[in-house]
Amino acid sequence: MTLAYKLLHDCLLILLVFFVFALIAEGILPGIISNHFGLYKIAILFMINVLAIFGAGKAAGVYAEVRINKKIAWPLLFMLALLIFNSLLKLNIFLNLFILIFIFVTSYFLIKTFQEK
Amino acid sequence: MRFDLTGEVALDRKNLKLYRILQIALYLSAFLLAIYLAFIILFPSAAFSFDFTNPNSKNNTIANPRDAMQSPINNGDMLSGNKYYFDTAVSGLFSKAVINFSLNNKSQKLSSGSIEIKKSYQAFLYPESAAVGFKDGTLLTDKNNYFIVSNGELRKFATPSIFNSLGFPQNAFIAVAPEELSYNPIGQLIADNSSYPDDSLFKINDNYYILQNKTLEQFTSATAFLDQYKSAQAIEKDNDFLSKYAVSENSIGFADGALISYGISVYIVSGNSIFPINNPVTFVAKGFSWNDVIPASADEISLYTRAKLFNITSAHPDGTIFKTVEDSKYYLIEKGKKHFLPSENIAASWLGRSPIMVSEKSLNATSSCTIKKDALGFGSSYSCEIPVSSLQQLDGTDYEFSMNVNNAVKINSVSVTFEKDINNTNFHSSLRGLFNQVINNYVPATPTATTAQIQQ
Repeated sequence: MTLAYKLLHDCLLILLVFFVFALIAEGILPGIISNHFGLYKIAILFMINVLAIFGAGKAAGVYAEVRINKKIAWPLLFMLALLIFNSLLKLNIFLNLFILIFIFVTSYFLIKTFQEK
Repeated sequence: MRFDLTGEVALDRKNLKLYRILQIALYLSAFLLAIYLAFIILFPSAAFSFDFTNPNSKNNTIANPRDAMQSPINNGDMLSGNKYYFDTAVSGLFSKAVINFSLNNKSQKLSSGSIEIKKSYQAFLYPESAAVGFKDGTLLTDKNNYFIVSNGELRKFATPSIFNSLGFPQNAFIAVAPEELSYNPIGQLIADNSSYPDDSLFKINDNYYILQNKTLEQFTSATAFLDQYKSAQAIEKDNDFLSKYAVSENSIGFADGALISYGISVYIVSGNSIFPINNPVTFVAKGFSWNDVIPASADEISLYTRAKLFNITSAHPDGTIFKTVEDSKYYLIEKGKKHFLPSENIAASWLGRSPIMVSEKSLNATSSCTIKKDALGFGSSYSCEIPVSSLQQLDGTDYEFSMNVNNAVKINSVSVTFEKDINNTNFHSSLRGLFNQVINNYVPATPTATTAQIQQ
């Protein structure tokens, strides 16, 4: 089970890489991936993988502590901002930037609210 | 240092070795899967099908299976010696079309048969009907005589003084060759200046009108008028003129085949309807030009009923004008027929925008194959593979298949798959295609295109 637990993490990384590249490709050329392969399928595989990691970890008696990697958080946030900006590209640029900032500010305060004890 | 996402979870020596092997296999599989996906994207195929046991199914993507008399093929029954047709529409370049079909269990076996394919625009493959002459409202002269085209007929002004006194601007009369006048039937002579003939055009207080059955019909805007006529064709009048004729409550919009935009959508005008174009790929693949898109106001749009989406399988609507690449011949589409426009002047009277370029060769250029029984398939499966590379340089998105069988059979289903050969040329053309799509998405060709995005 420990072996499965480790391999499932590798699977999760592969799925993440596929998903991120698929999102970027879809952002640049809508339909380039989704015309051949539904993105929801990757999302379903994600959920199955995470559940399997949880199950395998429990069976193997492995309890990984939750770690937050701030180094990778900033590039991911930057990519998220680019994807949102790109999806609103047809709008007026100021409206686009306003919505983008609004999304980030709202998300920040939502996280803050949920983190309050 | 070895790559390990879960370094804190230790494995014994034996399992660690197994983990490394499985890890390599996993990443290698992911790499191969990525290459496979890249191949699917760069060498795509397009599949279409039709189920004769369920002809109304929404899953049927092959359009209009029919016999030579344009009647639908009932229950998949095909008779010996007859030709049967069906259509598909696809954008992109392909190397071959693979046609598969399966016979009903009760059908006798197929002894032999063949399938032929043509590529063009669906509307350009319509049967050709009588040539048409000048458009209503056009003012013409053969240097000696002056005419107006009214209700399709060529009506001659008895003397130049008549059209002068009626106010028709002399510079609006187009000089044409006498033979060009033969395509409109001769109408009644205009012998006096007491009344205007039908299809006379007027400009009153910056509004444009056309006379129809002694009633003035107003164009919804100057843009709508200028889409069909030149401003010089309109006779300038003052407000008093409106009291001489009844004014219709109906407004006249854009010409059939006009491309208008409102908000982020582009529509094609056809009669009282507008068809929203589903995406930019369809717009470009159907041969339209972004320069021809006219931004419309809410009032102009409200004249029309919004019809179903215009997609890659839709035929060009009435009013579309095709121009052949080879010899610059013009054809007008009207009511499922293709009408030859016999001269540049006649075509110009109908043209409000760029014509759709089409290859005349596409009417005769075909590729064909002989139907064979599937070696590995079940007893009732047949297939045929047609190379379509030679048709790729022809303009058009529509493929018309014609099939003939040498003995009567009953078909359950037919499917068509367009495939690309995996080679260097196709690889480069796919990359170019993807690059062009990115350019279309981010760098619109004209300022109009930036405002004229497409209905999704």
